[in-house]
Amino acid sequence: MDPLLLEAYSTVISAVPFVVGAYILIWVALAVFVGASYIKARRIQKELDALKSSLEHLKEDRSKRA
Amino acid sequence: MKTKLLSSNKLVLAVVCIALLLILLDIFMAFFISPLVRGARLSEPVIIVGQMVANKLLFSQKIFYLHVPVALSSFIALLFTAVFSIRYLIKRDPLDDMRAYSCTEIALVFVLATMASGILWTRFEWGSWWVWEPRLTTYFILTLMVLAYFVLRLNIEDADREASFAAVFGILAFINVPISFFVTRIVPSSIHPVIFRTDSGLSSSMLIPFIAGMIGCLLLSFVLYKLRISLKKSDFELQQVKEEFESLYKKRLKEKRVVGDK
Repeated sequence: MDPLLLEAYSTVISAVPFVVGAYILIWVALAVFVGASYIKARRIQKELDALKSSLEHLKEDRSKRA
Repeated sequence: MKTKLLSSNKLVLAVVCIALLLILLDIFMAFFISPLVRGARLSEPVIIVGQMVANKLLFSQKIFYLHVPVALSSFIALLFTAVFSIRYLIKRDPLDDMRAYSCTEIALVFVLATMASGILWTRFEWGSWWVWEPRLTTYFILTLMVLAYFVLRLNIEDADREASFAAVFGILAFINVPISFFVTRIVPSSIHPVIFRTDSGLSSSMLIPFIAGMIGCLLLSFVLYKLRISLKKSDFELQQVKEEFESLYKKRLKEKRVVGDK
């Protein structure tokens, strides 16, 4: 390859891992945040559904006794 | 069900799609259409694709197309933290506290993404993982303040006190935003590149992906905000249902005891 061309592109190849790494890290940060939010949302929803159904049973039970 | 997050809201889903498309357009244009910027002078000019090139071509600048939109999104998220914090201090509406809290969470993600991508650029361009340069230093302080916001919230038991202290701290954290933004223009020794200036002369092939990335990141922040605020509302509902359940359960136990005594 032409040594002048090599000189012109000398920083390109060595920068690739840094540039790709930077883009990956940004997406990883966003993905971790979305993933953690999704897991938390599922946990809350599960807990909420279970509590609501228990509450309904409790209320029904009380009204029957009354 | 109230907590059907993204899937239940068509508007939010549409915004997610537009945001991701814009960011993908930004990345595509950055790598395949925007020209490489010029660095140090070559020993001799060379002709590449019919063009005379007299400088080294810099690929590391490609980080700018997503790093800057992400950094600016962190600033805007903190601006909203301050706005909702002020509103909370005036109206004492818990919803404003939830909004400020959610905005700071978004700010934290974008701050960490900015730091991670910036550190890689610094390592390549300046040959060091960290340089105590004005922009980096002020942004590092900003990062610490955002982290401190969460530490503060986790360490106060009383909900009203937590919200009030966090509101004041959120406003203080925002004060660092204009300082960090303008420091590269104010301090002459700053070596951090300045993007927004009157003579920046970004060509349209560089400006369009940047603007697409900027709008994409802002839309993504909005979606993440909606996601977190919906989570907080559900969590609040959960606490209320828990309290109702506990009080009913206690009443039932008392009734059982009374029947047992009789």
